[in-house]
Amino acid sequence: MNCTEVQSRLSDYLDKTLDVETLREIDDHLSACAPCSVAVDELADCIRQVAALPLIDPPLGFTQRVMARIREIESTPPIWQRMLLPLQLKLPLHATAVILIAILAVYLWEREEPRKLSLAISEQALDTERLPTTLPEAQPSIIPQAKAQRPREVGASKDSLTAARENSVSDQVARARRTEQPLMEQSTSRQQENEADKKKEDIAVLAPPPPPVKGLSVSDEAVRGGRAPVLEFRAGSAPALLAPQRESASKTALPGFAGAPAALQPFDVDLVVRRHPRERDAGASGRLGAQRKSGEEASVVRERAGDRLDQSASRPMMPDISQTTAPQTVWLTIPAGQYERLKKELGGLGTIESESPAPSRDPAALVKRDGSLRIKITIEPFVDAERAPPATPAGR
Amino acid sequence: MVSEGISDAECVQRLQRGETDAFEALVRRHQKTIFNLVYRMLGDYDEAAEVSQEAFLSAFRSIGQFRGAAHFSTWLYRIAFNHASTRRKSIAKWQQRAFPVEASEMVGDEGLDPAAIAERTELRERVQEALNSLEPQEATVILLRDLQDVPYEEVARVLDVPVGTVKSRLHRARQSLKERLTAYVKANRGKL
Repeated sequence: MNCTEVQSRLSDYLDKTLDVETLREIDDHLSACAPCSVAVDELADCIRQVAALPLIDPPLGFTQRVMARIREIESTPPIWQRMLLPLQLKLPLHATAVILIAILAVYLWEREEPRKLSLAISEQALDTERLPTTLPEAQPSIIPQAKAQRPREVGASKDSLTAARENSVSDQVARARRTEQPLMEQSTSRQQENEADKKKEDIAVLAPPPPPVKGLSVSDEAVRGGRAPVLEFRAGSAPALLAPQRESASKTALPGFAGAPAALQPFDVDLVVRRHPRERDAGASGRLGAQRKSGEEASVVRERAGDRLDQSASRPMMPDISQTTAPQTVWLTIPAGQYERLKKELGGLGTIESESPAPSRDPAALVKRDGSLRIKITIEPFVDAERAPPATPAGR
Repeated sequence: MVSEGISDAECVQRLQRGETDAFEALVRRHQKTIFNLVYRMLGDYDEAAEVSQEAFLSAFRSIGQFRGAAHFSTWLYRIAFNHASTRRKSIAKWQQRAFPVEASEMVGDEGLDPAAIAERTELRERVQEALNSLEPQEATVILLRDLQDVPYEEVARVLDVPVGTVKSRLHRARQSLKERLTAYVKANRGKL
């Protein structure tokens, strides 16, 4: 047996786990080989050092601590028991908690949606109109609702105005149109309805009620206070068109829609203006710059209140109105003293076909206490006498 | 209170029947060997106490799985070895740790002169450092065989390896330990 073989069996040799023959061979080798003899002595020393390590006692009370933990474990029911038992108590509690959480979630969602709607609209309105905090006197202001409410202009983030809400409103608009049909001029209303059906999406987009813009809420008060006139512009010829949706809006108690809409308030004077031919009107309407498609006006509502307007008499009282094929209605609140000036301005737009006080109004109340007049102006499109049917009667 | 005279197997049977007190006898009986195995593997008294306690709790929780194919002590060694190995892995820079000798290790040295006590203490620290420098399986083989004199077959069951593997592993572990301790042992051969 050589040194390598002996070295590889030294551990077994010291443990005496080898057979007698092998033990004798290793003994013979160790007696003749000094290095292997030293190696076995060193290995034996190491084993002795390990074996000489004292067995130390565990901490006092070790057993008691272990048993205390065990009894603690035993007294604690398993997790499935803790979660479920007793069933007759836990299940109703869990069910009640789930229901309450669901109710809270629905409540928060309902509360959050209108706020997002109003915020989106008001931000856009403020961006586009830059409304002042004070209103000058004797100048009309415009309330362009539709512009403020156009989600496409509001931006992608305003898409939170859900499609479902839009569809719902658009359906209401369509129903309102059908309901009010007898009240409208036959040809115009039919045309509007067709246009509305074609552009249902646009109606839905533009239909929501006005935003809670600061200027909007103060406009009527400003008029009553004699500070500034308010002009509300409604494109299309059906004032009642918006009534259902506005009622719907008020029913849902959306913030920023408190109070009766201006379009539903009574008027004092009803004016019907027939537009001049397009080339004549170009001068009057060219400055307006409102680029609208003809089919959209039936459903468009534009409002702007509280605009700081120049007080000079040269500033037009009428808003920008584009030439369209559909009748348009403008609601205007002006100081009584500027009525003649308004008529003169309307003369530049077209021919005043009729001028009549509201049938339901007392003539004595024509001029309000605060000195303002509420005027409904219906702007009929120019009709070519050779091609078009006779003009519809004014004043509905 | 379960009598200390009954065997491990009897205690285990009672425990499996729901007599929790039977476990107390098992803890009293094996706490020292388990604690020393863990202590020598970890080199820290407090951690050894904590890990030993966790090992006993694990044994209590798993007592239903013990079928009696091996000794209860073997099964318990295996649980303790697994807990200690896990703890060693979780302690960062294990190899760089210092392993001071516990005061309780000095029991029996009272009659020696201070120099001899100091030398013995230093030697124990070196041995502990050498043990802790080994792989957990190698350290366990040495501790079970050379410190606790556990038979090869039982060591094989604890480590779940054949007996031949235990022998070869023990040989390698002793050689590693010798390489770490030889210089110190040679220098102090006459004194130790």
